[in-house]
Amino acid sequence: MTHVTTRALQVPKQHIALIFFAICLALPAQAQISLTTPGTAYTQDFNGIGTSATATLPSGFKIDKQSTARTSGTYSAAGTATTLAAGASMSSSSSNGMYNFGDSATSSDRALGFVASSNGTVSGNLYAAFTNNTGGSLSSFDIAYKVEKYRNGSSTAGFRYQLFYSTDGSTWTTAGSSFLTSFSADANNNGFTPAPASSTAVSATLNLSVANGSTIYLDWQYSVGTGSSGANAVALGIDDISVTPKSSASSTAPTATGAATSVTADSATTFSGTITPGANPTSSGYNVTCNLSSFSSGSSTFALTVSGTTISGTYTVPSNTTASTYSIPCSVADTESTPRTSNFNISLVVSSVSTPPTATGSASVNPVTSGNATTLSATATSGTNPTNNNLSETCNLTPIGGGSAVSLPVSYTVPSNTTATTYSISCTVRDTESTPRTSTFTISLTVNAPPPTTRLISEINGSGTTSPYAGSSVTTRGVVTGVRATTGSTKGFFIESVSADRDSDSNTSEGLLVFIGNASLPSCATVGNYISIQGTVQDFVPSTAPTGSVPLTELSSTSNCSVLGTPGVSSLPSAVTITSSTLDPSGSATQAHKYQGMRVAMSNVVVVGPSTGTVDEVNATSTVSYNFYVTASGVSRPFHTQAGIQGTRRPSDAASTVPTWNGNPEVLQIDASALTGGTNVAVATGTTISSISGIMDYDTGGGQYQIACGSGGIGTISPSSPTLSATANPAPLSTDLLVVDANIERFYNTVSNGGDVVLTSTAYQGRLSKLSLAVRNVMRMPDIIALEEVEGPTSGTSFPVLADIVAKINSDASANSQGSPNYGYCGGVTNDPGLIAPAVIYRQDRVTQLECSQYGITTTYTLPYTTTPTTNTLNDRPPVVFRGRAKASGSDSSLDVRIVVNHLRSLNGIDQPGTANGDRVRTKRNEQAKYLGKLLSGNLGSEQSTNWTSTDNLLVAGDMNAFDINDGYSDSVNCIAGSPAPASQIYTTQAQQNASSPCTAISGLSLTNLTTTDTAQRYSYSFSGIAQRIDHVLVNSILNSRVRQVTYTRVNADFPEGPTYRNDFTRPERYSDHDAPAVYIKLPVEVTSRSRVNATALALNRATGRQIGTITVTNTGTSALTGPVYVFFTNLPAGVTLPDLPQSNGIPYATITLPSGLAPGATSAPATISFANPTNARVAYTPKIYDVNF
Amino acid sequence: MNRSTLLSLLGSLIIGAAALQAGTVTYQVTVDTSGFAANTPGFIDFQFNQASTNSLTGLASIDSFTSTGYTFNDSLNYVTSGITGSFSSLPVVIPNDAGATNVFARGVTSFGSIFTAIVTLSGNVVGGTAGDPSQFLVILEDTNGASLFPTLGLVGEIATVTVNTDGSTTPSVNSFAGGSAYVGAPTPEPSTILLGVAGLAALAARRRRA
Repeated sequence: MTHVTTRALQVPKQHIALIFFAICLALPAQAQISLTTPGTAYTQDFNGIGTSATATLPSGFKIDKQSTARTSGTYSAAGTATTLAAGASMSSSSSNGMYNFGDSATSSDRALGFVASSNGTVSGNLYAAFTNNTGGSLSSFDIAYKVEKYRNGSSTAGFRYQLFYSTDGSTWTTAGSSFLTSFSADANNNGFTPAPASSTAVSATLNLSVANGSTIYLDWQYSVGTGSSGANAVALGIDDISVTPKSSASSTAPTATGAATSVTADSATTFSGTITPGANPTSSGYNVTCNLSSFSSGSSTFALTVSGTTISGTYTVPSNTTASTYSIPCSVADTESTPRTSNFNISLVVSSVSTPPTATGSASVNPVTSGNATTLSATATSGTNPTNNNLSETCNLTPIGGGSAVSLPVSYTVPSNTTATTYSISCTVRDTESTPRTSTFTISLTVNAPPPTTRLISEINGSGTTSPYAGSSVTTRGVVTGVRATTGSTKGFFIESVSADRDSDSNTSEGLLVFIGNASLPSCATVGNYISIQGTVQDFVPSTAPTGSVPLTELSSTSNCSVLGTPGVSSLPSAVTITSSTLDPSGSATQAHKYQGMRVAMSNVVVVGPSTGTVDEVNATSTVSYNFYVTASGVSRPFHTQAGIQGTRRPSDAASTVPTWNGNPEVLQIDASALTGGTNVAVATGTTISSISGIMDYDTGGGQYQIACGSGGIGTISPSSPTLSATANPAPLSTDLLVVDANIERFYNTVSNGGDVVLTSTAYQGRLSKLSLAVRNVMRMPDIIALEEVEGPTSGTSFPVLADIVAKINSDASANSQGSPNYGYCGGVTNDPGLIAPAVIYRQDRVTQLECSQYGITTTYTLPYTTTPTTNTLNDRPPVVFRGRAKASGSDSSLDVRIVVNHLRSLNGIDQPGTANGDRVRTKRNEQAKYLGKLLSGNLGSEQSTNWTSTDNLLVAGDMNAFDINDGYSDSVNCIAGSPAPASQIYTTQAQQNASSPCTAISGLSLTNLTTTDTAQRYSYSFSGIAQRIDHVLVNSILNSRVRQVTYTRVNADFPEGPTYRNDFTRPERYSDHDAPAVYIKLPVEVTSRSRVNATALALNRATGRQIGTITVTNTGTSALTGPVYVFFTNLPAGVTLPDLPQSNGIPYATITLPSGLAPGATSAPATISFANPTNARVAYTPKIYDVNF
Repeated sequence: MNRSTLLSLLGSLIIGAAALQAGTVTYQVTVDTSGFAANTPGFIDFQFNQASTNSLTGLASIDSFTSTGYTFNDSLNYVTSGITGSFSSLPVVIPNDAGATNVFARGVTSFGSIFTAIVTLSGNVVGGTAGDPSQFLVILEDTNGASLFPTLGLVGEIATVTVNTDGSTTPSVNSFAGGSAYVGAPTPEPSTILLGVAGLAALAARRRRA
């Protein structure tokens, strides 16, 4: 400054303004650094000067170099910019001078310093000027900085930085050894990478009084340690300067005062207070803590909240605190770098806890029966602090019909309509303090309902299928006639009216099931006890049954069972005798309802459905379970031939146009072990039993009446163990094509494929053996077998189970001299979760495969819905189509037959309520049948273009899981055949109708559902004792003319589960649960090539217009003809007909009987033929001659 | 050998030797209807038919038709297409292949006692060996075209000549009430006429004794 001022004095006056302006421009580099706040540091890291070699120093800083050692210049004369720049990898020959140091030319971390030389730059000075603008005197300065080394120096004199200070910028005083930073000689003058190589921190206090408004100058002097030469200098820089001025005034700590609200123990006190800030410097923040260790839960450093200078806080005084006035020591500290602290106390007055009065209450009559009185009273205890024995109690009796604040004691009559339960009555005790103290207590009171009205069993049952007292609590009585189960969730027992309690109405049952469920049987439930019992009458219908189903009337939620007498087992009510007149096949579905719960007995019972069982699929065995099915002697075997919905499970919203099936009420299910002591028995269809006695029960799962049996309930069984054997099919003629449809029931192998059952090797070989026996010896080695439920792949063409089946049959046939059928197979993939699929096996010695294909693999259908439609896979087991060619021995021509094998959706869940349940099942069944109808009639569009019904000998086989009649939910089979029941006769829900249209007849689709002429044999399955057709073979009219015979392979349906059949791998019976329809198709035996037709000339009968002739057949071959022979007149001229002759496929044929055959060379007796020939066209035709079959 | 047998042998000797010529064969057809009730109307129906188109073709020529006691109503004649000639313009020629059946039926107002004609079969059918049979038939019908003797033969025919599959011909007659038929070789002129008459007489005698 001085230097500049001096120069300003040398210029003309007229230039003063201009010079002043120039000075002003230079001021940023020469202005002193203003210190305004004691304790507040000024800092400078030089990072703002940039990377230039001629960088301008920050404001207040200056720099110079001196040619003599350890020499300072003047602040005013010093420059404001560096002259050089360096950093990493400084050369040993770097220029001397004032440096802008940095690790690189671009690094923003800068420092200022010097490199000396022998005599150019021997000293370097970095100056800074600070002006005290704090408003007061300063007494010292805390000064910190770093000395950074950018190059070695080998000068033995070493180099150092020494801080000097000055009050005028020209006369300098050393700041002392605390500010001396020395560097001894290095081995070389090399630079560093990275740089600096070292950074030495310096921090010390410079005691120096500086009056307000005065300026102090600092000089970081760089120079050789001793001597006068600056050669081989160490390059040193100054960085990160911090200068903190310190006031000379005295420092005071902050102080505080506080208070706390008086509390009782276990209550929260509120702290408050005010802080007086410390001075010099003035406190800028505070921490206030109190020592609460006098209290059991208190912290010694409990922190209070500070907002500005206001203190606040809360603390919950522990309940165990002794009443006293506590002086809580607290301290306040400011947040200065060296906090200043002072202490103060807060006085807290804690009082003792005041407790309210307490009480306990009771009811004098408890439990109390509604309608009766009980006295409510209480015993009260005074509260504390203070004690006050003037107490009163009130209770809220509104839950039991009383007032909301009834004073105790009180005699209270519980209203008769009070719900029976246990009440917790809320009460309050209070004292008479100015602010009354209260507490609550409860009185538990159990209110019992009055005993329900006694209803006789006949009243409970009523004369209909539902109870007039359903939902009501009743008391009833009767003799225990049987205990249904003693464990599990279906425990219960039956009671029956004693004679005196019976009414005169034969339609009201005198028996009743007492359902206990999971609970323990009451001790009264002993057969022979005459008991009284309370409970709720329930008309039970399982959730899986349609709304409207016939319920099981029972007594549930029972209580108060008491024994009225013990007449004993020998005095049980007499059993009702069930006879053929009782079991009317045409009676109502509920004709047995009037006996429900009553003891019943039958004699000379006929088994119409074999014993069911539990199948162990892994081991291919089963055990006999409890059910089989009977009817009375003299009642014909029941067949499911009536269309409609089962009468006991008819949905209440079914239209009246939907027919009802009476469920074959002549069948009774026998639950052989329903009652204590009962045992399961294995009986086949046709078995007779001398007697059955038990209790008439109702199976809500199937809607079927059953007799629950116990010990001695099953009489003498004849035969005592099953002796029924499979009935072999009639032997086919050599000219027959025998086609059988067989559901072989979940036929898996030993390999896991996900979803299947993995059989043991023994079980698998056993199943193969049984099936082989059935095919060879019972089915009579059919030419073609349509299979259902054989394990199939989800994709691909590998069919290991089919391969095993045919290999087993072929090898067994060979081993047993049964020829070489050489069965082959045609398989299909499956979409079924259980991996079962349809397939075909066929004798390759008699049938040639023309086609093996499958349809509908990816077809979907719309699920029933209410708002948003979604789709799902339609065909779990897509139909397999096999087309084969068969030729009778010696025939000129063969027969091509197309067989479509199906396994449609089962009946399971068909009537279960719900869109995802029955709706879905019915929709799927309907859509599957419609799809099949389209397929058979050639209406699948691009998927299939051939109308099979008109072009092929078409045979449709399979487990259709549907009857030959409309079941009221779908008419699948007749839909497939082309003659479905009207939509009005089929139950559907709106959700179904949204997704699926009814099946309607398809033009040209008219299939005949084959069955045997023997009506007693028209079944393939036995379900709940009812013989029925669910496995079907349908043919088109072309093939129907060739059907010689239909039968059912009797090998499964009538045979009971258990060891005798299924478990015996050496016999065929019960290899499945389905019997197999067998169709004998007449193969053509064309002998045109070895016979001749001889025709006589025609003669015209002018009266009739007919042209009459005769024909004979001559055997021109070498083997005899069997006869009858059939002469077909093919290629007749247009208009020429043979009206008197039958036709096959539109071709007339004459039949010539051969009573003794026709030997080679022989000629038959003549047959007259009569042409209608209105145009008198010359008669021409090509005769085709067939023997036996055409 | 009894008397009846002797008469039959005599008849056979008289009528059995019809002249046969390759491609042509001639028969005399004589029908005695003298036992018919007076004034019985109807038709004399001549047909020459094949068994089928496998039969060989041929013609049946009816000539020298004479009758005794017959009255005719030619306006009632029933003639199928392809037939030429008429009884007033003999011969009537019936091809066996004009239609399935080839008919010349002459309306009779009243059957008389006898008629006779010479029928010559000719064409490939005669002597041919590759075809189905053909047949010439004579049927006596009522006014509705129904045979008067419907139980005879195929359609009530009383006389036939069958051309067999080997080309040979076989004459045949059926007995009928009220008369008789003769199919045989043409009657020699004139002495053989007596033989023919004698043959007819012998046949009649055998029938009466049968």
